[in-house]
Amino acid sequence: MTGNKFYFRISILVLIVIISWTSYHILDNGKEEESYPVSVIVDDSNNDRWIALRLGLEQAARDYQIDLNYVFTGKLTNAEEEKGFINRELENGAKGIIVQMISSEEDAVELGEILSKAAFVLLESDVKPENLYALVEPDNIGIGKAIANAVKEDFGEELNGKKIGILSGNQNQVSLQQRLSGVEEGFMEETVDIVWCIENRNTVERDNLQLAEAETVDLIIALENDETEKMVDYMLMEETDDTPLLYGVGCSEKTVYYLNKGIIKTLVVPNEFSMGYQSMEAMANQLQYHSDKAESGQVDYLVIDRTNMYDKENQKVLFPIAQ
Amino acid sequence: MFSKIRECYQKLTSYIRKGMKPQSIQMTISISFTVVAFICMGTLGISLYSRFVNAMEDMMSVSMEQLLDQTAINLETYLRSMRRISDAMNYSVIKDKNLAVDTLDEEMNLLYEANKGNLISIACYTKDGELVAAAPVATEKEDVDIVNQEWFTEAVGQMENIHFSTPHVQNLFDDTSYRYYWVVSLSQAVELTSNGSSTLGVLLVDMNYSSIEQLFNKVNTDGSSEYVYLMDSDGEIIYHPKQKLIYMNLYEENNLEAVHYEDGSRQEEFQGRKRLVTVKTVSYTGWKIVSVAPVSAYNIGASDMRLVVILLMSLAMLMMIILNQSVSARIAKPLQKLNESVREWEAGNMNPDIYMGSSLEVEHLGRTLRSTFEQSRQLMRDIVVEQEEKRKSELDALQSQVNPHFLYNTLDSIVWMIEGERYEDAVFMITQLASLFRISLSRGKTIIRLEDEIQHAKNYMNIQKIRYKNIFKVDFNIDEDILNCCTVKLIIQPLLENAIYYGVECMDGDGEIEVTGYRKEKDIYIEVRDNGLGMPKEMVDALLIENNRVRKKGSGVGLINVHNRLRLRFGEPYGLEIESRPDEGTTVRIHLPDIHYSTETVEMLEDGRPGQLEGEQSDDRK
Repeated sequence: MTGNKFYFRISILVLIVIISWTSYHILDNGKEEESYPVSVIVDDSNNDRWIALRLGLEQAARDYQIDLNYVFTGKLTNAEEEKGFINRELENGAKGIIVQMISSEEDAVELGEILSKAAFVLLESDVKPENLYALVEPDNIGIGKAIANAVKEDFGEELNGKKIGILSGNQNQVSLQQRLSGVEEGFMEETVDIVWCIENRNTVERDNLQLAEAETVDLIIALENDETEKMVDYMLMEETDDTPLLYGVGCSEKTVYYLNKGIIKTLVVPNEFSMGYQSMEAMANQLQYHSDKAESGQVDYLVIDRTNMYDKENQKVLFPIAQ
Repeated sequence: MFSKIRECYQKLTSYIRKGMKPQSIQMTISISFTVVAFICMGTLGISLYSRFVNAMEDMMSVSMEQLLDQTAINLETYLRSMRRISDAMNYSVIKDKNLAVDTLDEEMNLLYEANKGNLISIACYTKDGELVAAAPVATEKEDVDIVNQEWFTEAVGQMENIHFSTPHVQNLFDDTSYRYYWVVSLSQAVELTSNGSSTLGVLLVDMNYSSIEQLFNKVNTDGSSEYVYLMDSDGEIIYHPKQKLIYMNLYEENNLEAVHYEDGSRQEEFQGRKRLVTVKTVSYTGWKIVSVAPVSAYNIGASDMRLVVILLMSLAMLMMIILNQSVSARIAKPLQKLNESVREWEAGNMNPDIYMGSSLEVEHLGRTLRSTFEQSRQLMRDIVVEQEEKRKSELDALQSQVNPHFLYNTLDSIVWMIEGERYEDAVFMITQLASLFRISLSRGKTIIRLEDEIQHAKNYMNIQKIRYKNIFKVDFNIDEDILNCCTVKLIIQPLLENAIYYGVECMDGDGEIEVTGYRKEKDIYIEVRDNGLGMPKEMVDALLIENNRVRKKGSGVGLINVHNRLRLRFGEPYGLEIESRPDEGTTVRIHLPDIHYSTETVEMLEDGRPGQLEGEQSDDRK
């Protein structure tokens, strides 16, 4: 082959490669981006407590071009029911599931069966054994300790001998177990009397009689939004002069309202907007960048009382702007 | 460092020098055209692309400014209407009312109802924070510290101004449905009149934040990466499409820097990304509307354009290269064909096919070349003829050298015979001499039949035997089948003469000369062997060298004479070969081509065309 022919063929080959490459990229730019349907399954999805979470999910879904399907669940009674929702969403073509597991016991093994079908991010609470799946949660132990600290700050020296009742919520969930242990750790060096700790494994079959024992304590600690709301309802119903002080965890408009009204002494508010945003962000990373496992994340929380709830920074978390 | 640069420079220059070595015409034309085309198209593409990018940037900037102007107009209209509400309430209602007997409720409700799409509430407070009137009517929250709320302190602090707050959650009225309202508060100090005495009050118009939000959402709905946000004169964000993320510290904005920007467009770098930022200040409030367009946003368009430019340039280059190749081939092909003709001629083909097509110039070149070749051929033919003439004349000269010597020697012998009354011997000798001359003459031909040449040799030896009184023996052993071959005449006789003079003359009857003729490997060999004195190898080697002729005795026509004649006639491979050893004798071998004697072959050999003859002979043999 003469030099001329060689250079001619090489030039033609190079140009054909360039033309193919540019054509591919021009055509590729015009292609619609792949859609990623992601379903979000949480207990009692229409509950006000999820408003901030939902706003966070929606914002992240917009930012990462995710098709968000916020599944209407109603009040979930057991883990089987929840898994039914997960399977239904997978059958409907969901590529990712963000789920708040209502029961953490031995769920990890069963989750493993369906995990291979889609991307998963756990919300708020881990499952046992822990640290197997991507998880976005508040600092649950920190929340428990923060409540205990708020109590200690309010009572000071007078805390000794005070009777405390704890509404520990669904202790099937790792998150609530951690919150309870956080509270207990917080009071470890105090001589407080935890008179009762009502574990609400099944919120529907709640024993109202036990709640009546509230009268016998000086302060009540509610470790989740529902428990706080229920305690508020109870206190409004049973208005007496020596109503115990209520320290709760919550983020619903109702809890915030009654914090403002003074029914709730101190409210610990997990940053649910961040939880929603980060969980969807983690999901988007799994789906769009095909990473094997999304990074877990932890969100902060605020300790709010009547006096600081309208502070500039606090109101940004307490009252999400519905954009 | 310097030495490395010099090394690189040397490498580069050597590479360029290598590249500059002579190339084919086609390649030179093709590369030159392609390089020129590439430079032109590259320049064109780059300038088009840069013009496109500049135009896009300008367009983006203008579009942003227009968008901001329109948004500012809308916002100002909205704020003006809110201000009108506040002014109407102040100047038309509060100033006219004696609050000791009148209430503000009716007018306040009317104003609220007329503007409730944009309002959350209108309220009027005394300087102590007591509610004078509010619309819509609602229950005040307990224990709310009105006088320390920002809108209140600002109104009281600067009474002559109307104040716009940043967005905040209204903390005034109780809403049992747990609802809360994000508002932007417009507050101003008012004069409350009660029974003729005036006291300070604060009028509050809480604008629904969502109205501002909606106004800006409309601007930010296209889903592109450009966005518009609003901040107050201190850089605090009032609206941002990612406001919640900013509040949660999940997103950052360069608002604290941008608040110092003058109105207009500028480029900034924030978090490692270049952005085009356009700022517009809103009247009344000092708020600033800021539009942000990441450079990458219009770079996407520019990148598409870049791809298109590359694609078009590559396509154009592809076509250009193919076109260049075909044009250069069209130009170079005829020249290449001419070159091939010259190469053919150089390789020995004296009659090459000269190409004379294509363009007029090439045709002219071809014609000139053909004529040059023709002239060259003619010149060569002339040279050949001239050489032939020269050779012939040399042959004739050589031939003429033989006859006088031989004639003188023979006649001398005859004279001695007659004087010695040996008449029979003299007759025999004269007869032999006549035969010898007949063959020598051969009607002027140089090429004779080998049989005649042998006869000539025999005649000569008969004469010499008589002359030398049979002091040596002569024996002829010639194969019958070679007798009809061609030979140059008078080639054996000089060898016999040498054999006598240098070989057997002094041997007193023991001398023997043997002449042998045979065919071997398609060639003819005639050997003249004597058992004489012989000679050393050095002498043998010198015999056939022209300047070292050995002529001690004899006719003076040496072996070199015969050798040259044979080679001149038949070519280089032929001639004489000599073998000799001192005291053993000498063999001189004549090497001839095997050419059948005929009229044609004689003519050809006479004309000096032994090559052509050999071709024909080999064809005959085939």
